[in-house]
Amino acid sequence: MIASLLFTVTYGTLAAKSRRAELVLVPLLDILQSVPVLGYISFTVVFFMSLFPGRVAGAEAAAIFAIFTSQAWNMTFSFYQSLRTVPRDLEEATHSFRFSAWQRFWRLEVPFAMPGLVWNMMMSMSGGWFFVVASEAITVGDRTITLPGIGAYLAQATAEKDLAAVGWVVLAMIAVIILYDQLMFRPLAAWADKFRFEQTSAQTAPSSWLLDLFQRSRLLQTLTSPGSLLLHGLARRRFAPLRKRPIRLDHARSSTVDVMWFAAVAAIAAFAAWRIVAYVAAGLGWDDVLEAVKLGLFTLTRVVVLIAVASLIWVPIGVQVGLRPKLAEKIQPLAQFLAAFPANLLFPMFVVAIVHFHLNPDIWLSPLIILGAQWYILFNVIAGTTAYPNDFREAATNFRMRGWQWWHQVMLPGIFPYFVTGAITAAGGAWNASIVAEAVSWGDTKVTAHGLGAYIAENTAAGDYPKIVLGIAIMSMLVTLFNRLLWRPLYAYAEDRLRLD
Amino acid sequence: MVAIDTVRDTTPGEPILTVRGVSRGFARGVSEVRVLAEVNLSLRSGEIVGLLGRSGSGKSTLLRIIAGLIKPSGGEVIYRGRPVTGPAEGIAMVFQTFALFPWLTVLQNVEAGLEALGVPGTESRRRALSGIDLIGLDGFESAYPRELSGGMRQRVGFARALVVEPTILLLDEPFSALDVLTAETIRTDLLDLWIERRLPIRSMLLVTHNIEEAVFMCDRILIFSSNPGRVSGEIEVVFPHPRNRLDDAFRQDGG
Repeated sequence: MIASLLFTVTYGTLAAKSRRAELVLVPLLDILQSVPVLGYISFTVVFFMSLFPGRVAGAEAAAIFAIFTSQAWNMTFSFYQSLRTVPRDLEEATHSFRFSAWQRFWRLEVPFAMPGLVWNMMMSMSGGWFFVVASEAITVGDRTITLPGIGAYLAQATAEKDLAAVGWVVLAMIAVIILYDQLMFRPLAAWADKFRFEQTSAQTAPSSWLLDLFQRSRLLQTLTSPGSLLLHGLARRRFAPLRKRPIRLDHARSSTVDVMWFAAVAAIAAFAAWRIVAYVAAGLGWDDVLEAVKLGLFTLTRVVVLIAVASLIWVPIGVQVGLRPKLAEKIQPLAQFLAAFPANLLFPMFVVAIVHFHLNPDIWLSPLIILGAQWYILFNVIAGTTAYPNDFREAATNFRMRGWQWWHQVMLPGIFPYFVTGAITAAGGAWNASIVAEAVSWGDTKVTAHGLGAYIAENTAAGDYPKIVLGIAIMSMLVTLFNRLLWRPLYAYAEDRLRLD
Repeated sequence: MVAIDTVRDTTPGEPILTVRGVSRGFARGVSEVRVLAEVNLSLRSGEIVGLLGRSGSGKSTLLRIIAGLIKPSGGEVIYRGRPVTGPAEGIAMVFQTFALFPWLTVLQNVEAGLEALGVPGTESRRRALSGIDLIGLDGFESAYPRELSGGMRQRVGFARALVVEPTILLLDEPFSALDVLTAETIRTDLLDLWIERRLPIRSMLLVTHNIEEAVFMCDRILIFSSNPGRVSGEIEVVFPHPRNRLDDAFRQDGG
C-alpha cells in the first residue's frame, strides 16, 4: 500500500511535469490498467519464487505485488489528473511568491490531489481484497502455492466442500472490512475533506471518531508530534537554489529531440510486441489465436450484457438514493462496503446452486462477473446525483417537469459523466473477475463457462505459459479496444457536452 | 393579450398571493437556526414588489417557499385562495445562476417548461419561438448555453419563465451575476415589456440586494432584515413607469 503510494507520487509527478515522460508514461499506464491483474499472477508467482527460493517469501512477494498492481495504476492516474488540473491562479500565486519546486509540490500540488487520491485509494483497496483472496491460493502447473490467509482458507474450504467454513470466511471478511474502514479510511477521508477545492462547505462533511480522537486528545498529539514536526520541516525546505527562472510558456522546443525520443519509444514498444509474438508463435498456431479470440468475444458479450443489466437496475436506484441526502449518507458506505467485499468469497454458494439445479453454466456463471463490480455503478450514480446542482433541480421542479421528461432532460445528462466513470471501473472489474468467475469449482465438481477468463484460468492451472500469454494478450487487447472505442468517446462526449458549468 | 390588460386594470390591488406567518428553521447540530421568522406579505395584481435585504438574510429561502420548492416550518402561502403545497401552476422563477440545462439548446431549454405542461409539439414550438423572439434571442435557438454570454444566458432564463405564461414571476437576484451594463439593458427590456403589457404576468416579486435596482423597478419595496429574516419595513415607490435614473425627482431623496 505504502509502496503504491510512493510509486504514485513519483510516477504521477514525472508524467505531469515532463512532456516527454508523459508521452511514454501515460499510455503505458493506460495499458497496465487494462491488463487483468489476475492474468499475469502466474508469471509473477514464478518470477518471485525464483527470486526467493524460500517458498513462502516468494509467494508472499507475488501476492503483495498483485495487490500493488491492483492499486498503483488507478491511484497514479488520479494523481496525474489532479496535477494536470491544478487551478491556474494558485499555480501563478506560488510562482509569484517564488516557491521552489519542492515547496510548491508540498504546499499546492499534494494537497490539491489529496481528496482524489484518498478516494481512489479506497476504491483500489476494494479491488485489492478481491485479488488477495484470489492470489493467496494459486496453482501453477503442478505446484500449488498457498499463503496463510483468508484466501487460502477459503480455497481449502471450497476443496473440502465445507459450506460452514465458507460462511465463517464471509463473516471474518465483513469484520475485517469494517475495522479497516473505521480505523483507516474514515479518518483519512475526514482528514482529506479539508483539502477539497471548493469555496462552499459540503452539506455533510465526512466525519470520523478516530480522527476526532486524534485531534482532540493531548496524549495522542504529544505522541505523534515528532513525526508531524519532521514532516512539516521537510515540507518547508526549499531543496532548490533560489534562482530567477522565467516560466516557460512556449512548448514548441527542439522537435528533433522529440522525434528521436518518439522513435526510441516506438522501437522499444515494437521490440516488446515482437518478443511476445515470437514467444507465443513458438508454441502455438493460428488456430489457438482464433480460439482465444472467439472465447474473448464470449466474455466480451457477457461483460457488455451484464454492465447493461446492472446499469438498468442501479441507475434508477442510485438516483433515488442520491436525491435523499439522509438516505444517501447511509447507503453510500454500504455500497462502498459491498464493493470492498471480495465477491469471490460468495462464488462457492453459486456453484452449489448451479450444480444442484443443473443450470447452464454459460448463463448462470455470468452474474458472478458483475457481482463485485456492479457497486461501482451504484455509488458513482449516487455521488453524481448528490453533486447534481441544486438550482437545476429547483428549476425542474419549478417548471414541473416530471416522468420521462425529467429523466431524459434533467437527470440522466447530469449524472452521465459519473455513470461513465462507474461503468468503466465496473467493466474493468468484470474483466478481471471473469478469470475467476468463469471457471469455479466446488470440491471435485468443476463448473466452467465458455470464455476467455476460463481459458486463462485453465491454462494457468495446467501451466501452459504460451497459452496464458496469448490469453492475456487477447484480453488486454479487447479491454484496450473497448476502452478506446466505447468509453473514451463516451467520456469525451460527456466532458464536452454535459459539463456542469 | 387584451383580456389580460383588462384583468390588470379592473382589479388593482386584488391580492393574488398571500404569505401568512411563514417561518423556517434549519437544524444545525443540536440547535436550530431560524432563517425566517413570521413573515407576512402579499402580492397584488399589477405590481412589482421588491424584497430588499443583505445577502444571507433569507430572501431567497422565502422566494423558494413561495414557489413551493421548500416547505415552511410554520405559516402558509395562499395562492389564488389555496395553500401552496408544491410547485404551483402559474408561478415561474428566474434564477440568479440561470439554471439552464447545459445539455439542452436554447430552444430546448425554453421549450422544457411547456413540455412539462403537456403543450402539444407544434404549439409548444411556436410559443417557444415567439418567446425567444420577444426576449431578443433571435438566431440563437440552436446554441448551447455554454456558448452564450452571461447576459444572453439570463435572457434564456427569462424566455423560459415567460413562455409558460405564469401569473406570478419570481425573480431571484436575476441581475446580480451580470455586469452592470448588461444588467441595465435586460432590466430595461423587461420593464418595457411589462409597461407595454406584452406579458401575461400579473405580478412580479424581485429579490435583490441592490437598492437602486429595487427603486428603479419596483412599485413597493419590502425591507428585509436578517437573523432571523423578517420584513422590517415597507416603502411605496410613487414614481410612474417608465422611470428615468437621471430624472430630478428620481435623484432627490424622500420620494
